[in-house]
Amino acid sequence: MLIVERLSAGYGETEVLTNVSIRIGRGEIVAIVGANGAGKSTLLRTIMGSLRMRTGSARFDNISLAGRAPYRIAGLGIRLVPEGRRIFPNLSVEENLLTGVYLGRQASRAAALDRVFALFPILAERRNHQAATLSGGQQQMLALGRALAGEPRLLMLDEPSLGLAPRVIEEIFSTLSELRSSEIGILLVEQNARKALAVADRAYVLENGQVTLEGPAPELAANRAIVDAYLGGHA
Amino acid sequence: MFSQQLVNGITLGSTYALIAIGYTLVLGVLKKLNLAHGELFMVGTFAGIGMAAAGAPIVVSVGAAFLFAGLVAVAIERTCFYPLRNASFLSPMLTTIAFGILLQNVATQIFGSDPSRFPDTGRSVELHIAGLTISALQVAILVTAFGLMIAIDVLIRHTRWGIALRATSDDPETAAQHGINPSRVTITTFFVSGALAGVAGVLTTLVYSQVTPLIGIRQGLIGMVAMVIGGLGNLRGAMIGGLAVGLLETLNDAYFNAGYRDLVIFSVFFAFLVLRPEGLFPAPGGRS
Ligand SMILES: Nc1ncnc2c1ncn2[C@@H]1O[C@H](COP(=O)(O)OP(=O)(O)OP(=O)(O)O)[C@@H](O)[C@H]1O
Ligand SMILES: [Mg+2]
Repeated sequence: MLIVERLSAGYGETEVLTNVSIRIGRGEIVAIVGANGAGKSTLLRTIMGSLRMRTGSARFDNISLAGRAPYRIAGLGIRLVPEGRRIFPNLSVEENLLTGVYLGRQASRAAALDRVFALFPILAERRNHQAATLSGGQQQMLALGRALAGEPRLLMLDEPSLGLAPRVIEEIFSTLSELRSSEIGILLVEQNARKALAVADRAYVLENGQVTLEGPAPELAANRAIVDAYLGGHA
Repeated sequence: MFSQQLVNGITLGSTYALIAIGYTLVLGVLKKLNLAHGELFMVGTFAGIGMAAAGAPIVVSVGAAFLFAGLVAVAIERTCFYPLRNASFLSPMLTTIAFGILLQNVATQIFGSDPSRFPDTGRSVELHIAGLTISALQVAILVTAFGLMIAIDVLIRHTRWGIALRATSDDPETAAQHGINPSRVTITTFFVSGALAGVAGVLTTLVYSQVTPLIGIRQGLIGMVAMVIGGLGNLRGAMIGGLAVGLLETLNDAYFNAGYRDLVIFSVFFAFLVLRPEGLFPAPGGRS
């Protein structure tokens, strides 16, 4: 459903991504692993349209994403759970979720909220609290819930486990596994490469803005070089 | 009499509040000031006077001010802010100064630099309530200004537009990634900010009788004072700040010396900026 081909992007003079090609199919979970500063976040922001792609192409269900504004890319059914969660701190929990269904119709908005509340009951409890008052784990659930409320067909997550307690990480990842059974594609960027490769179908390794390895996740998880570089020693 | 001064001060202050709200809305969304905001007050006033001169009733003048000042505000956004969105934050602000001076000169060409006024609307009916003298005009101003304040508060808090505006104020990139069109939010915000300033212009001029094309300079600064006193970035703070400045001005004129009016107001402004820059009601979550 998403096909990125030979994409380059960057900030100012510096090019961060060079000739990156990835693809994600329906119902597939694809992981991107790579060191700090490899360009993982840059790749997701470029797909989302927040950063201009310099060369190459990105097509979503055969619709070109090049030159499209982020709000229009969201309209195609792509959602990003950004690095650092980026919930709207001054909005209530419910209002945060409502931004997720901003494009939807009135009736579907209420239903979407109910689904998110069923997935994360803690958010229902806190629905009228200001989002800034949530704990880190709750904020991550809110960021994920906000994205899911928009019923994306492609969900991109940028380091959803960063800085969270193991119990919360389990909850987030089990939610992702449940989503696999639905028809949506998931693009998962993770520092926690072991967890990412465990849940993913396929994976790419990004180094200095270039894809250096790709393959089925179990295969990469068994790869000696990957294990040494990203999984902190023996698997 | 003190309670009479309170009523007069709140009436005046409610028009200042309408000006201050506009600054705050724009500041929230763009983190920048529209330094031609006072000219929207002026543009609205003259749109209203123009309609009245053509024989239209006051309600139509108010509507014309709302619409025209709102549209001029959108023009400011499209010409001063949008094309310079990636430039230094100073560029659009300086550009709005130029745009404001342009508006002053256009108004001077059309209406002359002598004071203009609404055609005599006839002696306004005066109501005597509990020892207070309130003109029907004053009541109409209070109802209009407070009606608009309540309306904007409800819109911001409880509508889809309000959520989009507040989300964009918090984090424009993330808001856009969830389907919120930032241009649409910005344009509607400017329209509302201009419309309120324009209405404030007509309401003020109906009571204080005459204006020149330079009226926007002082009113724009007063609105800024109100915003700072109320608390940068806080909508309700801007409303309260407007009322506070109106009261300060009226009480100064009644009990001190009208000649010292702006000396007093801007001394308070200065004191706030130095001693309490966050204002009376700092924005929640440090939004500014
Ligand atoms: N807004 C920006 N302006 C300029 N350079 C940036 C910006 N954001 C990131 N970079 C640079 O681009 C490169 C890639 O950064 P990016 O955030 O995409 O890496 P990442 O793989 O997501 O890293 P991390 O694991 O730390 O999140 C880095 O060298 C970074 O310094
Ligand atoms: Mg990153």
